[in-house]
Amino acid sequence: MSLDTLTVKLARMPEYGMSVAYETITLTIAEKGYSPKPGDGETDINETIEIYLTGAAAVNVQDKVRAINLMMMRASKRKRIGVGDRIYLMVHVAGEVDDVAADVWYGSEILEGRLSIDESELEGPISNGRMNARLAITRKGYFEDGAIRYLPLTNANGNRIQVVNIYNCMDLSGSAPNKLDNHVEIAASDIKGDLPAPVRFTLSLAGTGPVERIYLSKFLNHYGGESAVYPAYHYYDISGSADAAASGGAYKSQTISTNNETAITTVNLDSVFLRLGGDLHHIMARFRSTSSLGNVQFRIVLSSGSTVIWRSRPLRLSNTSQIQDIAVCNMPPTGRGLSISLSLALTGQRLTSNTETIELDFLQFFGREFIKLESVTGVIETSSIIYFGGSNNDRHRLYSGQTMMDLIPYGADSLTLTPGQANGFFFLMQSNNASINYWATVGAEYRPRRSTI
Amino acid sequence: MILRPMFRRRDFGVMVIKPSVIYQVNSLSQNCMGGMLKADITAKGEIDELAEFLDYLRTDVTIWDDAGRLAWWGYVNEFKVITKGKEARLFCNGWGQTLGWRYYLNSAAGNTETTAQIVAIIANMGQFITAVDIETASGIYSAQARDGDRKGWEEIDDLLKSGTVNNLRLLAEVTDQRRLRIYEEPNILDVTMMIEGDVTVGASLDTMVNKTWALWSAPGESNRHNTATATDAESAAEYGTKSDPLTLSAASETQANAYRDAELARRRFPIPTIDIDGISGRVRNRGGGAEIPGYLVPAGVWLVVKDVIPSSANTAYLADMSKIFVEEIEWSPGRGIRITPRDVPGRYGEGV
Repeated sequence: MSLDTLTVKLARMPEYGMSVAYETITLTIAEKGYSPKPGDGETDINETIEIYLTGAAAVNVQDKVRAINLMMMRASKRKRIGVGDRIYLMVHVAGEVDDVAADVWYGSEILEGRLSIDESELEGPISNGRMNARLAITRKGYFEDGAIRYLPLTNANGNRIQVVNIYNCMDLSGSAPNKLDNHVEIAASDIKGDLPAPVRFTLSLAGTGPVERIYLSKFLNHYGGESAVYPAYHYYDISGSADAAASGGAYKSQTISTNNETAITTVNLDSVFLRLGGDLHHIMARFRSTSSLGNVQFRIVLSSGSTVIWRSRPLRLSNTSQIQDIAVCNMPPTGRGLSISLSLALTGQRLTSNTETIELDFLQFFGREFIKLESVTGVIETSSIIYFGGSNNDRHRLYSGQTMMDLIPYGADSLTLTPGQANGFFFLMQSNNASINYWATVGAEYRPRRSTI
Repeated sequence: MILRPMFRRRDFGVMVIKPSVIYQVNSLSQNCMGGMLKADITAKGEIDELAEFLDYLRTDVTIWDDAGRLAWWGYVNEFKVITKGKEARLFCNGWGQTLGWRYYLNSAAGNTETTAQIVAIIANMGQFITAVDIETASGIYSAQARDGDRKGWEEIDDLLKSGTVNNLRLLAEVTDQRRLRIYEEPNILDVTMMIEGDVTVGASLDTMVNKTWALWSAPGESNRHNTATATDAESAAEYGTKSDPLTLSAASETQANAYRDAELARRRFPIPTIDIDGISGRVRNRGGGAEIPGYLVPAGVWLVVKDVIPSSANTAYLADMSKIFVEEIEWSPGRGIRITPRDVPGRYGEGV
């Protein structure tokens, strides 16, 4: 880009990411200009920026050289041992401002760098207060907005609001803002940038009693003809015996009185997998009680008509948790226009000689991006405010005025936003009895990512 | 996919402080007789962080991918810290290997079902096994006495080999909950995954046996007994008679006969070898869909080999070449999957 288009500077910022800069050095780009290399969001980028350093006298130029070298040294140290301030290459496109007319800056974290100077620059040019130099850097393969953006969230309890209530099932009973809904959506138009960006959730637990673990997941609609997401296609309320404490007011009781593998429930996926097909899904289950869970071996069985096309590994479940991650299922890709009889069954095989009884409330298909959060102590107290994910991979909580770094994540480091389409997120909380009324508030923020400026 | 190891203390409690290192999983393996086998992990970082691994022997290890799937589980068996490269290597074993840590002695008399004997062995020396789940009782009885000169796993291995009354092997897996799962080898028709890729296909008479007997010795005995000889007439008529004995220790006549019959059923026709090129090998559900990562392909299952043999080929007197049984599988990011297949049964109803 031309000299007048971009303003480029180095900035030293706190280790938790872009915020107030401790120190900045504006780089004067040499005549050939600087066009940031496009990145893929994952691979680090090596590039060289031709600059020149100016000052009233040679000693001033030398000071700038030292300052840049110190910044590069900090970047290397952070890459090596993972602590210390972060160094960013900050870029501003002339004339680009935000809603409040402030300049918009984009940052790409520098991982390593070296300033090199030709020998010929050390005498003549420097004595005139100007020295050409080359700054060779390795930086992250993306630029992030310098400002954090809060995400407008939508579910049955609110439309495009900053903080929304979520509950522990999705039967949508009740009245807003307290409908039983465990998902949130973000519209495609609210997701900026052109690369997937990690999203930081703030989850404030408000239900009765502590939580053992929390499950979070992203889901998308893979059907190209639609821009929305359809959480209902991921949720299967199982009917049978009445119980006001169960999702949809009912659950299914299945006895297993033989040693044969017995179907507990079967869900028909015929048109559903049009939107779910070709991707991984965690099959989550909520059981009404932990009765017999430890005495039965479970499987997920995917069938096309009467032909079994996939069967999960057998799984023994914990007999203390009603919310379980049964298996990860590869949904087959959709066949366009074809009528395919696809079904998913949860089966059980007893491992005792007793009649075992399984009480199943609902199944929900979580997505490929999946996180299971637990605490070191096994307990996440209610009233905890959990901060998880984002570009800094936050994983801590605030409880009783103290910051606790005791969260253990299994799965992804952070859920991400996929630009260009609506994104949805599911949440389930294993509280004392995994009550469907257990609730929390959720907020989300992110820094849009782009491949280049 | 990113694979990430998680560690727990030797008492299976959570580790609060962990070294600040970068992990790389070099290889994972599992087999159908014991479950998870080996994991090789490299950790890179500063020496004072790597030194924390000095206290990691026998810690619990689970390896997860970033879709939240559990890929491997076991314990740290060995470590090396390499100061020059600022890295540590952790060599991990599956929990099934701890069944070879102790010897098993049982002086009780009488015959018991072989699967019940496995339960008794675990109760005696399976110190890290939390429970035994017998999914298929063997229906075969033999002397339970053992004179204590063999390790627990050797005893269990022989009991598994003698199989069930259905002439099928018993397989074993130590699960991520450290439960020992004993189950019958799956039916060849019970196949839900397929593998595709560059293959090398062959067959040899070397592994064919159509006449056999078992040499067996009872627990504590040094003298051997012979079972009666069994012959597969169809194979012998086609290829000629090819014989080889089998051996079984600490067994009974019933066990030895069952083992003889099961092996004859498996090896009566020439055994095809199907080697899948590791890098090109891809495993998917039979219905298609996303590739199953190599590190998630289990041992102890059948795979359909896609489009290998033309339909015009005459394979009437070869064992089924369209499927392979995954006896053992190893995955590494550089080499992909390497499958050790087992010989396949004949197509005329054995094992069904």
